Amino acid sequence: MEEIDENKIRKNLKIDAKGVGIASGAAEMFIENVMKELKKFLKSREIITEKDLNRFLVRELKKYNADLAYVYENRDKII
Amino acid sequence: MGRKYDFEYIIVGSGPAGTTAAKNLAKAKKRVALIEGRVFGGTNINTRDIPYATALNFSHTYHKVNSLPEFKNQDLGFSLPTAVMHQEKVVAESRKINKKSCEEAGVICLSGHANFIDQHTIAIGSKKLTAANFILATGSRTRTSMIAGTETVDYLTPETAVKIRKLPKVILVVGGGATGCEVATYFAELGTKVIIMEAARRILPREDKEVSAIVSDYLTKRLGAMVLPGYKVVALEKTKATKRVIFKCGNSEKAIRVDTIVLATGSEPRLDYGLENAGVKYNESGIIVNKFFVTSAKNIYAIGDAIGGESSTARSEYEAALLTSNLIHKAKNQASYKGFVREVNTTLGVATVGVNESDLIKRKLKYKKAIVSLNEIMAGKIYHDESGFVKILADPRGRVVGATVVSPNAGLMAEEIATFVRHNLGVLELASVPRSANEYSYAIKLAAKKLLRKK
Repeated sequence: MEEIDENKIRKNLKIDAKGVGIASGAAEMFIENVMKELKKFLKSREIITEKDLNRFLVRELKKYNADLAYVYENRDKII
Repeated sequence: MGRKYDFEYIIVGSGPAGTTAAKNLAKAKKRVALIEGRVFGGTNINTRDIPYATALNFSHTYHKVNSLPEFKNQDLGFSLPTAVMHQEKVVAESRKINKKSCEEAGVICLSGHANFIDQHTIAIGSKKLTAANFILATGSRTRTSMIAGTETVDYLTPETAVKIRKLPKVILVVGGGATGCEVATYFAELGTKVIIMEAARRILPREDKEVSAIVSDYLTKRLGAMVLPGYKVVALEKTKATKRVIFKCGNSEKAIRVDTIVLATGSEPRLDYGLENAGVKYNESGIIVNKFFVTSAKNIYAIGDAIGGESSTARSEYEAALLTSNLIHKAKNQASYKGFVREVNTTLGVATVGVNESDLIKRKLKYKKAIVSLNEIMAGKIYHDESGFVKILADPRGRVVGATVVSPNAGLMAEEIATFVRHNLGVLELASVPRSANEYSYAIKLAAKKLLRKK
């Protein structure tokens, strides 16, 4: 059982946002909103798999930037 | 040897599909659990069919009595909180009866949000349960994702709109489909000024053109609503005192301020419970199943609104009954959706059974039709309502293939015609059914007779 590392998630999102070309200020703002929602999501479920986490993050990211959501969803496939 | 799984079947969702499946399997002596993540009974009992029927019955009755010539110049009042309390009482009783019937059948009812861990395991909180098979009947919810600003602006949905206890002066209904028209009718009948915005070129775009025209006419002329087809709402914004609605009309973008908004913009299936962990494939329309309701995971089935398509309690119950029959009897029967009735519960009721004329034209099929207007029959004069019509469609061999009814009691009239559609009966049989000349259903007999006279 692995602990969810929120700092690691935040860092990865910022890297992906930079890669997609989103201004760092804007990215910072909506990533914080996503992390707030993530905290609520983690509180609501006792058992969460990696796929649940990815699905949640992609859904939240789509509200702010579709390109970033796509990149995050497919990061294992994008070289 | 010990049992490998906790249950033979776990059903996720306690709406009409889930409870029908659970009861049928339990009665066949299967070990069954039914899990509900929100309120027992699902959308049907708690937020849709039952509260809607109750609310609309109230508003229709009030409007009808208030409009009678016998009550001219009398302003009849009502208490909305009392009406909503009655609605809540009906819902609570329905929920209790439904749950009791499940428990009496031997279903183990559990509450909590279910999340798949793998193909045979779900988690509810920290507790894990295993089953040989799962049936997903998780239903649907209002879709708001195509309108920006819904996270920050308060709005009503069709489910919450009929539960408010104070009438707004003006209400904007976004979406002119069946649900949007029903919500608009509810408020307009009770005296609220209603604006309906629909992105398509007419309201009720799924129905035939004359249905859209007659319902639109009734909403504007008899209920004082403003109907705006071709208006697409794109965003909502919060202002200090009210809400700002941004919409596109043609090539221009405009905005209006309103106090109360209802988003009746269709529904989307509920899919957020770890389907990927179980290897169940889905898309934004719903869970992907084959013709026997089997998903991409062979021990997991899905039925009802969760698999997309037109949301319908009758369809959900039918699919549940068919699936469980196949499972119990190890059969391979396929669904036949002929004869299902689609209703719009506006003041002027609309019900369609089988195909409508638009479907036949699109598919370039030959057909015959006959229309009888309600002003051709006595019932219109007796019951003070001559708006509406009955349209019957037949194939070249004289079999009834569909009908559209716009009338009081439209649903009951369409259900009668459904028998003829489902069992491939002819116009001759329909015309030969004896009917009272004083009732609206007499229009069915006249329409069938008209069809017989056509070559």
